[in-house]
Amino acid sequence: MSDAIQMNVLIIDDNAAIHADFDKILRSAPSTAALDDLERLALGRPLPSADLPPIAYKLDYAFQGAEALEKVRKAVQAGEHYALAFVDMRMEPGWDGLKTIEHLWSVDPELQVVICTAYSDYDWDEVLARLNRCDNLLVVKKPFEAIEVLQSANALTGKWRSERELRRHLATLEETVRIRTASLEHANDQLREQMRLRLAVELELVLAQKLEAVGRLAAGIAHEINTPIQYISDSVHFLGSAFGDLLTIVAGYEPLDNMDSAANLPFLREEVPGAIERIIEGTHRVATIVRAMREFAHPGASDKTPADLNRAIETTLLISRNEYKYVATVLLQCGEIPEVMCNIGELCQVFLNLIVNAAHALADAGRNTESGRITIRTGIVEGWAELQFEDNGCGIPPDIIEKIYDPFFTTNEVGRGSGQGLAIARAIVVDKHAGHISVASTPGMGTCFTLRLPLGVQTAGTS
Amino acid sequence: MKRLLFVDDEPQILQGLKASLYTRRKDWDMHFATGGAQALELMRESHFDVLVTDLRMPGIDGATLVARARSDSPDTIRIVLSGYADDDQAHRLVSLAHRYLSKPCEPKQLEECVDRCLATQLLIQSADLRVQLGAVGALPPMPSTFAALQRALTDPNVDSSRVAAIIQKDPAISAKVLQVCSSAFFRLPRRVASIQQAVSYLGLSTVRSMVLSAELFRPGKALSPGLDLEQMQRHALSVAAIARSLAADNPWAEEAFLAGLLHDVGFLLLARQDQDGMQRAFEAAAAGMPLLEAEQQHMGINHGVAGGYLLGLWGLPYEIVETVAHHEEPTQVAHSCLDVLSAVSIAHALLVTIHPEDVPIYELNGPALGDEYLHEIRFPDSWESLVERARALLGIPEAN
Repeated sequence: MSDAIQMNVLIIDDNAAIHADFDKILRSAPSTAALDDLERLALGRPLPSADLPPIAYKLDYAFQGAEALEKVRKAVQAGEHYALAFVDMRMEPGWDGLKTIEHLWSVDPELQVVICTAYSDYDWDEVLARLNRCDNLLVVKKPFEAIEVLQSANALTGKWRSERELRRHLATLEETVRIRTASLEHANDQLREQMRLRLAVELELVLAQKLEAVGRLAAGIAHEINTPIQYISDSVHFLGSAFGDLLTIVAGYEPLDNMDSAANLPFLREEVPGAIERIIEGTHRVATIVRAMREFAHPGASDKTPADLNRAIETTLLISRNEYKYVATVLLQCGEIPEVMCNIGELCQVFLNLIVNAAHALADAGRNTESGRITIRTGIVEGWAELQFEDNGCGIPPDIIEKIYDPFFTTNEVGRGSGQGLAIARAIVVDKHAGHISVASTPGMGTCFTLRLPLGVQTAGTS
Repeated sequence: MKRLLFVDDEPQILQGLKASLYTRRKDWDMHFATGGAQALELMRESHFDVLVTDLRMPGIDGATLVARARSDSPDTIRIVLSGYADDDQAHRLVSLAHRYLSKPCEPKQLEECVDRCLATQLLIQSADLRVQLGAVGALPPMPSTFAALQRALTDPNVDSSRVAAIIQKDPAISAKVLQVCSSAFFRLPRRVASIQQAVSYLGLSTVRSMVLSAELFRPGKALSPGLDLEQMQRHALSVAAIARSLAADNPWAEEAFLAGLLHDVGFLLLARQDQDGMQRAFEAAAAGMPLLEAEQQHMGINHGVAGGYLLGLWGLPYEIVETVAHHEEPTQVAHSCLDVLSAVSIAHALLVTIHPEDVPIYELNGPALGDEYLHEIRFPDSWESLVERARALLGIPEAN
């Protein structure tokens, strides 16, 4: 019976003759096959578990409770648990049976126990009260029948094995559940990442479409505005020279000089040239803004081309003046930067976002043109084109500074901003231009965004 | 009296021009058309000296009108005045118009532009010059690679690979262009290894200008012993680079670059025509006589006018022709703002100050420009600051 399952059984009795009895009973008829036969005889039908392997009992003996405890402890340590212990109730001078069981269960709670007793030292209720459990326990009255011992041994070791199996299954099940959960979480993370990417791509698309539309619009508007400016300017120049001619014609005609009514020639002579100058100056300013708007929009430019970053910042400042003119004075400290290969239209969008953010922070801090300051510094730092946008506005609280680049994260009230500004800035600077964007902020003191763009030429297909 | 035709689909623009240019009514006979069709009709009926047209118009647009004018009435000066004039920079140098002006454009600017175009035309059509320069055989034709580029660039779909292919047919020219690209002026962060890269980084116009310069200064031609070809090339490139940096983001920056490269091309022409006269002129200039005077005395013509005449015959833009013709004496041409002519003249004068090693000895006593001139052309910076900028651009430390 080399393939028999071995079950470790401990016999605890102060009487050596009892040890011999157990040896005789359990060693001589150890097989479940025998038991099955027995049962088939008794019940007239085979057990469902008829294909269970046979069992071989390995017996071990102890005369005292303390000795038994030692053996169980060692067995647990060695991983060779006893499945079952037969415990005598009275074992002078040491612990009695119940005390022994208490100790054994404290080191091996899975141990099955058969109490063997000649007297009813304790009634069942007392036993339960002492041990506080009855699920691993049988009581056999001395003198016992061989079949009683065999049956209880078979039943309890079977139960012990089943419980073990059950625990193993439970553990496997838990592990399976853990693995499933982990893979679900992983799938979930992937999905979340894909959604984030998709959101980023959508943002980019929205941005590209927006830039494209703004570009086309700006070029169209520029033409529309330049046409009236052309004839306003021409007509005003004409009025200027015509007025001069008129003065020449009426010069020396004294009655006109002395006419003191609604139309007063000396007053007109004094004021009209100034008025004409103002209109001309005004048209120049409108023309400058329109030109800046067109440069800012860069219609149709989707490729990287060499561009002057300082110039782009100046243009952006010009068209965004309305955003900051009441809350800040702008200090522009341009260092020398060679032309950088970039999509300047997109970078202008980044500059605009940073300038508008600074203006909002300054407004929130209650700044005005005296106290508010936006400082823009450019230059070459450690081989990068570095651009800094610093304000002395309200600053960014530390608890949200991590979130500022998240798409749609915004502290703006409705209508002030989409919350996409910095997400777009990050996408353009980091993803599209292989640059860096970083922020330093102290609440109440201000914020400084630093952009770094590579100076090296990086165009596809020209390596 | 010159006859001018103004074309715009916006009647208000025409009214404005009519009013603002009324001071010129004594020497300009001005006509106005509210569209391409009407303009063509007027041009069929009678000859105009100058055509000023908008680009975007319903029906026959400005580009079509200018093209028709060029074929039907080639000696009419064609000026585009458009809100979109800046958008098509790549084709400005080969385009059909003589000048491009952006709306809004001040009356004074427009007047100057017309006057200068008429003067340049007069130079090109000068019978005296034709006789004088044509005396010794035919004038050289436009260099072949540049001519091929000009033709290719009339195709709006031309791409950098086709341009590169044209240039690469001449290995000597390609090598020269690449050498110039890697010079410090362009501040390219990486070495340019192919013509196609040069075209992508610097743009078609700049590379085309380099090609023309390389073809003109190609070594091996018999030259007057007084001409140092290497020095002339360095000089031309330095002037071109400074002129372009002065032009900054103006739409005519490329014209300034090309005009800078070509401003002394007249020497090459005159060296073919009259070696002895040139030698004597240089000697006189080295002895202290103003160069133009010396050239006039010994050759009967100066290198500026000779170069301008040649480029005019080749069909280069009037701004470049005018600049080459008058770079030694910019104040002879009425101008009130920074333009190609003033940028090149200033660049030349700056180079004399900061790096005389790159200026031929006979050119050292050229016109002295300074703050007064900058004020005249309403340029906001000081002469001193321009000297600094030019030093930084060329990487020349301040002399102590």
